[in-house]
Amino acid sequence: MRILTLPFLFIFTFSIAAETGNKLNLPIYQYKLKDGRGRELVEMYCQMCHSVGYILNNSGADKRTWEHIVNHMINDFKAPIDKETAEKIVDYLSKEYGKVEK
Amino acid sequence: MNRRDFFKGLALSGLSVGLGGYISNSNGQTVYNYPLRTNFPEKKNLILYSERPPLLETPREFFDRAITPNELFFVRWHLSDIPTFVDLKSWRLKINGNVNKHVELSMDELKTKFEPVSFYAVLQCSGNGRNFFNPKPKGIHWNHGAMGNALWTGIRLKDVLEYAGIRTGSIEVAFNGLDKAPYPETPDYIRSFPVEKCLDESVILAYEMNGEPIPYLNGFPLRLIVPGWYATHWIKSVSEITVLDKPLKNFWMEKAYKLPDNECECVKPGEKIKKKKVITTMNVKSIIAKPKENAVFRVGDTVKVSGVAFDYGSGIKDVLVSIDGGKSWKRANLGPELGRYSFREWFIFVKTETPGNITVMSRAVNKDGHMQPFKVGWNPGGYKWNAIDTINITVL
Ligand code: HEC
Repeated sequence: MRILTLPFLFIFTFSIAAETGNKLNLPIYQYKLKDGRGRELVEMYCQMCHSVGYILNNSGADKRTWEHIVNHMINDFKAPIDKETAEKIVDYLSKEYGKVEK
Repeated sequence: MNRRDFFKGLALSGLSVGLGGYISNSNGQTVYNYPLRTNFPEKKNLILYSERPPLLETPREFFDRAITPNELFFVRWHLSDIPTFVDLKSWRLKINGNVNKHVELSMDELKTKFEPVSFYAVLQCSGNGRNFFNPKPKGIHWNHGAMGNALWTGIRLKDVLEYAGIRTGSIEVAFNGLDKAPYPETPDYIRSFPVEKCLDESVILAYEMNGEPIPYLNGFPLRLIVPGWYATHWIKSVSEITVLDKPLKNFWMEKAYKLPDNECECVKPGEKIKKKKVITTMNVKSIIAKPKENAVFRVGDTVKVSGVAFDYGSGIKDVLVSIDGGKSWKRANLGPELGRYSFREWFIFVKTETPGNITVMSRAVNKDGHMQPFKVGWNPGGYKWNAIDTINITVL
């Protein structure tokens, strides 16, 4: 599915570039998140507004902080995520990108 | 466009579709983690934290010079739908709200109706140095490179506001840029500050950065310059200025960019702020650009230690350097003064005498007598980091 949709995205950006001449073409990166239960939910909900760079850069945060961040997305930035999904996302993030025990 | 052109386009863009559907970056590798040095359009060799929106940091070693070239200048946006093309033929700056006449000005009009001014000024993100706080506050974990110094050319905000005519009863002015949230319900990034500050001669609307049009990634075609204040106020791609007779209320004004309103501007880690204030002026700071962290030298080597220093506009008086963990300090040589809001270059030669690990420290002192502290109190936003800078080198 992903392989199929990507080329259309490119055709679209290139045709705009051809018309205006000097449009800035921003690169697209596809980051691979760690495997784990809930990964699809994070891919679906947490890349709507920004890249997963924000998540990777905050890796090492404890569960309370991840809860805080996800609630911040819902309450302040209006992320359309229901309570149940949010809990699953927090579980995934605190397990895969959580505090590393030393 | 036919199939062949499409693939040619792909190759030119430096992107290719990798195995398994993952996209590779311009070096042809699939990307699993940040940060990573990258050559972004308009930019070279920066540390990448996010590509949507672009968040790019200038590596420490480039702060050995007072002027940050445009292609090395850091990039920071809040909302990911950023302007990547602006047609100056149709672009207008709108001034509205509590003014005598609503006006729309083209770039040509801005350049011809008002007197141009130029000066150097440091642009620094409030969260620059957040990575050094312990524990680390949430947010982007910038090291030292969410700052830069450029020659800004533009027109005084005051002149433009007076052209529209500020009406009595006005208390603050709001600025909106062309960037938008991809999700319509996310609050747009609009900020305001008091009218009195807008009438300050040093606040300008810049259309040039280091003698060139401002790069898209730094806010083409017009950027608000508020020298001495943190970057949160320096609105990029400004398109609308609204004079207000009551305070602007939105997420960014009410909840973001707040400091504890107490003497140390700090709280205990994890503690909520009781009384808040908005972050405004920068503090005094120096950083060490060279040598690199953990660089290795031999006994008898002469090592050049160099960096930049700046403050909120009083100017730098001294930069002191220590190689004994802060017990004794030597005055560094200062480069030319490029204006009170600019970076000031500094350097000193240090002779390595005995083998071992050496802690090199730099401490700036400004003309008001403020200096960098050994320790910075914690705040939830991770703002205003300005502790004495430290690097370690080894002598064999
Ligand atoms: C509705 C849009 C939206 C969605 C959906 C969204 N975010 Fe965000 N996120 C934002 C905005 C806006 C910011 C602030 C960006 C800035 O200032 O650079 C942000 C910032 C962040 C930050 C930086 C820390 C902070 O507090 O500013 C992290 C971490 C983050 N998001 C994680 C997530 C995760 C995890 C998800 C999925 C649950 C998510 N985001 C979904 C809009 C969104």
